[in-house]
Amino acid sequence: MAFFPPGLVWLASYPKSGNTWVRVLLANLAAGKAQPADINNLAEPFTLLGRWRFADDLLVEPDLLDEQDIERLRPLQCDFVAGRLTVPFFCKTHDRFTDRSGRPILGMRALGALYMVRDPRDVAVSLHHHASLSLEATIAAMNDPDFRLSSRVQLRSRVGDWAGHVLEWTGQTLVRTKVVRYEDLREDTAGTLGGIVEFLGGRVTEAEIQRAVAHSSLDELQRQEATKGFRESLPGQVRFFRSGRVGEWRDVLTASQVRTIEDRFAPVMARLGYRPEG
Amino acid sequence: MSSEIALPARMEVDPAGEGPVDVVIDVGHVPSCLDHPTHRGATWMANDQAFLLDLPDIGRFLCEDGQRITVCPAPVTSLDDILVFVTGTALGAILYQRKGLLLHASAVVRDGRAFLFCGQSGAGKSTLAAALMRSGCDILADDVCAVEENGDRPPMIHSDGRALRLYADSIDQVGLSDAVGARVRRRLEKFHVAPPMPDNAPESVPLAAVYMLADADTAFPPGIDRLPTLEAAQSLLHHTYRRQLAQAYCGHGMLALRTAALLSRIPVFSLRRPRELARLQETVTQLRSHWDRLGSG
Repeated sequence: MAFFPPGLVWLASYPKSGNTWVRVLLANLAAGKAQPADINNLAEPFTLLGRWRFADDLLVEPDLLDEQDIERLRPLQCDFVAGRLTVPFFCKTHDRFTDRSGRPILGMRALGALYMVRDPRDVAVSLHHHASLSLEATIAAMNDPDFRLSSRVQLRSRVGDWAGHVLEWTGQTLVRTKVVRYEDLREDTAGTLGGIVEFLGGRVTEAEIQRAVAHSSLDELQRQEATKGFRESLPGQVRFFRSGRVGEWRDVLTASQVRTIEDRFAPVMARLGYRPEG
Repeated sequence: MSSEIALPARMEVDPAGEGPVDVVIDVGHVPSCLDHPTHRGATWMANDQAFLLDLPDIGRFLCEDGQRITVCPAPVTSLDDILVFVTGTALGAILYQRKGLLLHASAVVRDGRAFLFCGQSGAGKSTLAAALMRSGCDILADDVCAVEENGDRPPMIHSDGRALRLYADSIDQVGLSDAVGARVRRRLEKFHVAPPMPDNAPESVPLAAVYMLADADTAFPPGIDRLPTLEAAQSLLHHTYRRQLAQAYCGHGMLALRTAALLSRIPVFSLRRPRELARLQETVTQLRSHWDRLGSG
């Protein structure tokens, strides 16, 4: 049976960069069942992004706190939780690495972090469908240093612009971090997953990897979403697990939209192997 | 209550000083830690007699023996800005030290029976209670319900002051602009709202049903369903107010037993409703017809 060392592991990314897919892969790997893990019940503890968990851990409601109070308390919460874990805890986040004053918003006691990145031109297409925003508005959000996500369930998190998000996570040395490219995960899911397990100090067999990959295929995720829905989808969203295609932007974005993205992000894209067209 | 601090809406101290003093609230020195804590979190610790909440740049709150709350505001923090933690977590700790049981819920009264709405912060508990009040119910609680076991009869629910805390958009939606009071905290757009209240409103009311607030979506359309026992028990534990404090003072096993006792007398439902404020009235209508069926059943 698959083994992972106890401790907190951040699954960090800009939205729509493969975070949920990696969560499902790891959940299937850890569960090691004959049947695929239920996407609506991934057997994770309540996420540290959640408003309920915040109030449960800290005994104060997040809606009685302003952004500054919350920025002060979140690292305390994360470090306290990380220090007491006796099991592995893979926790999703779209937060930047630091708060507005440059302090690590998620604390420093995590065992490690996987930072998922995806070509920002494909992120734009995916986020446009996910958030039911026009492409223009989506691209503007990806350029907005104050872009924030919030919901009734999750704490408000500062996502900011795409390039800044990538640079903060990949440039910090406080939490051991492995960068995982969405495109690599699509091209060689088993091989990339094997690299993730190695980084996390886990032990799995090749057969366990193959089964987890099959249980987390886009077909399987779409099948489950079609039959039972996905509780993490947004209101009005037709499908969460939509296409996942690499390079879809070539068919969707106009030349001018591509140029807007590349004008802003080209240096960071180049560092990650995403070749600008212009 | 005897308090040297002015408390928010409807939590006034007895002005004539006639009734016996139940809880004393003072401003004073609060230590930064407790001796021999049995339970702790990142911002708090508890031992058998005392509970300490330490919120950086907000203040420290010490609750002792189910009777005394001492507040020590952080430097440059004003008392009125942190009162909500006294009337919330600190008073909750006092009630737990007295072996109370608290649910994170709003409550309304209709025909002498209490209906509770459990939900996490931001779920819309107060807004729904306000909308039900507009349709003829009385408000019993906004955020916290003290549940008192009552032998073989339905448990009694105690009022938490009958003042609501609402955001500006909810206040407009439910038409309570006339009843708006002070901000809950200086930098928050959330307000104390003290709606008109009938004379002789009872302090406690027998509980009829508990609803778990959930959002409807395409996969899960609006509806009210009774929860199976196990799920109902998990939901009640999930919505126990300051769950970790409940465990600190009544023990995990005892909490589970008391939850089971509650479940044996009271139905628990999931209430999935549209998230849009503009569709609040649909939920009110849905609940009223559900109550008619409950009453006749």
